[in-house]
Amino acid sequence: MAYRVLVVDDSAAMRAFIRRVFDLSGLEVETIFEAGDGQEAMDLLDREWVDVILTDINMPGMDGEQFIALRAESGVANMTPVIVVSTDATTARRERMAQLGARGYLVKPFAPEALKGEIERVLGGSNA
Amino acid sequence: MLDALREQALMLEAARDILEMMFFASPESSEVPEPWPGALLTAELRFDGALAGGFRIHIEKDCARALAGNFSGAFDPAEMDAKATVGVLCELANMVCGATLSRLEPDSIFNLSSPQPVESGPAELCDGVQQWLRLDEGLIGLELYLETSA
Repeated sequence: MAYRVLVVDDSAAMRAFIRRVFDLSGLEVETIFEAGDGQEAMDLLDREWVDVILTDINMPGMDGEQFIALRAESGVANMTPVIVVSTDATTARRERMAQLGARGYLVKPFAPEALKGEIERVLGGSNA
Repeated sequence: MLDALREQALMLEAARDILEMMFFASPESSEVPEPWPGALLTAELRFDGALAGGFRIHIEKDCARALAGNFSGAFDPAEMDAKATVGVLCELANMVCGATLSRLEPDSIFNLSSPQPVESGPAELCDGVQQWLRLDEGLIGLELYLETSA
């Protein structure tokens, strides 16, 4: 199965980096969608189905916490798993994001294998 | 003094981890340059939470272009235009600041502003700590300034 992925990050450089990491990871990817903040992501998810969402936390506009919380309020949080990708490695932040509904957490810096491992863990299998 | 040394050590550790893993660069610690380097790109961000303050990163232009090329997978750093280079510089600032704060206060939550490019100048955050790094392509300066402690 080839994944449809949404990357939510206000940094175009980081979105491009994650694209490259997917290329290096060996994961089969059908499409990688991109959004610059939570609202853009919500708008895109109205039109497109994705298998997994990777989101930053600190973003102008709708940030990652608001995005995950809004998805939970909408009752769609269980439909598509969200993995937080952040430099914030604190226990408090990890717990807070998990409480909001995040299913995975990847701390920057990370190696391609770490991204692959977290996606496979969250989606419950391997597609490589 | 001990706090400043700890902040400096953790900032160095965070920067090394990020530069090695995501930029494929192996920096060495360096003294504060005298005189202040001329052709620098600088990005700055603010943060609040358990600690509040600012973070600034300075990179010599050739070094910034080389790091941006490594981060983006460009075969030739000359492919990196100015906008893309500044974008990578801002992301590097975000990562080093976030990783440093996570090491300083592992049980707290911080909010970081979006890094912005700013005019370079010598140590305007002079009450904070500085750490300089040297790569083959040039110097990187890091400055962390803590305003308050909750």
